[in-house]
Amino acid sequence: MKPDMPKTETAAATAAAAPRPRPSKPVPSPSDANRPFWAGCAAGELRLKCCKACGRHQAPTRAACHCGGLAFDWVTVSGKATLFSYTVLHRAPDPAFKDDLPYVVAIVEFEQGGRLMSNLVGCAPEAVHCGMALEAVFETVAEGIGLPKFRPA
Amino acid sequence: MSSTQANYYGKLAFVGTGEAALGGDRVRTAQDLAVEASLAAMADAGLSPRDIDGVITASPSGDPHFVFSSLVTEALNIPARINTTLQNAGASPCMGVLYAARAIAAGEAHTVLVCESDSRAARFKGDKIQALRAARPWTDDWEDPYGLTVPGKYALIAQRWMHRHGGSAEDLAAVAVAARAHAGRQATAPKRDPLSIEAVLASPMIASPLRVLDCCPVTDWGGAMILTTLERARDLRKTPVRLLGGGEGHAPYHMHETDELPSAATRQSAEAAFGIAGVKPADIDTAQVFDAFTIAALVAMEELGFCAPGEGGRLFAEGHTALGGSIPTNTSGGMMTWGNAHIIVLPEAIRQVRGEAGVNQVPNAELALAHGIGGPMSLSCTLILGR
Repeated sequence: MKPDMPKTETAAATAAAAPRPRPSKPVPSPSDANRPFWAGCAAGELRLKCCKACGRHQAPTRAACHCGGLAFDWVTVSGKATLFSYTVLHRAPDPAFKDDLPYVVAIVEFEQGGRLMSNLVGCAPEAVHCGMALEAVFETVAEGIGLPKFRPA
Repeated sequence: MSSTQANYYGKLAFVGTGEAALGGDRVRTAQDLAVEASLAAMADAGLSPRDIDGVITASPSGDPHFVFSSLVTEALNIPARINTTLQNAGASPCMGVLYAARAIAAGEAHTVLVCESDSRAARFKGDKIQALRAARPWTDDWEDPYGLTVPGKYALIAQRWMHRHGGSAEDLAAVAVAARAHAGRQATAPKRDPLSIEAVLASPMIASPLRVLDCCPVTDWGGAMILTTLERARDLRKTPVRLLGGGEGHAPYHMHETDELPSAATRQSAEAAFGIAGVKPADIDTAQVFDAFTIAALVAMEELGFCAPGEGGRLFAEGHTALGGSIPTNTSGGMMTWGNAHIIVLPEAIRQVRGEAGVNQVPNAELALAHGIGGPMSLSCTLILGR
């Protein structure tokens, strides 16, 4: 050990005295391929990829369209969606989500086409049902990064 | 499509299979478990490590390693001509068999060891959902910020299935009840008391509609089998179990990108396997399918063609999957009994075709189906084994 390093005992005592840091939820790490999506959510709008060849809307994970098209426009859509499927989580993947239990994870389908995984908010878990009408709300989780979530429309 | 159909099916055979003995307080790494299972498979075949020239292993999450198959090959001193580690989650063992078959057919190896092992129970103590999440080496920006879990993924499939078909939690529970009945006949099974639908529905909720007893336990495991040419197999000590058909199915990993839940991956893999083998679901004597969650086995039976879509719950509840039923399924008790050992489908299918399945033997079983899925249910592999 270098002489200027704190002794292990001292470090442990400091750690014990300090309040434990709140565990943090995963935050997306945008790449150039999907930054418009996350930035859009931070700006309060939902942007999907729209194929220049066939006009099909799709989630940002696609680099090629079903039609084979490789060129896309980022288009802002209404955020209106229906619930495709859902689950109410009673066990969290991570301590950061424990305070939220029970919470709803859902696959939502946009009126223009395309789907995303998300959370349902503003809705009692027992009132959730497949096919229900939803609208997007946005939660900014870091500079330039928003998460789309959905509530009953 | 059929113009490129593989012509090696029917000409390759399983000659040995083995599993690592589980339980007790032994401390073993995934490598130890792979070695133990592989040696058991070699003893079963009457072969030594020097008779093997190909190794395909799955990739363990308890003791992750980039070149896991090299560790196994090194430990066993196998003179490998082909050697690789596959990561296709729960489909890895069945897909490992397909890659072994391709290598043998191509003349690149003649006797290939396929094994899967993991040390999840030893490593992931405590809250297993959190531990498994923490051990996963990636973060998925499209799922993880929303707090999704692996049981949650299968729950999304279950909820969608219930919505489409008017199914219920009782339908799911029937799968767990059926698995316990097969476990109950075996002296070594960890849980043998009969399970009731009510007990499943009274267990704590994990991710609705899946409860604790809809999910398999987390265990350590090791399993292995050896594939070679039918010609060589005939000179070995055990009845050859031929690989008659096989197929893969693939759909998007992200569940929001799949057209329907479950994806068409299992159906695609089954259609390929049945087509190559020249048989249909009604010809199969026993099915060994992926059942890490009740919903997985339920929809697998539908997608494999053993019943119509929406009828999976009834198939299990009415005893069709029991011994004596029309399609005895997961006769070992499956993953629901033994834990998340994806490979369990293969040793059991081989034993059934050989007539070595003991108290859970299906009389005169000639054709067995083995199935694996990963992803969840985004990739699938179906194999058909027979005499």
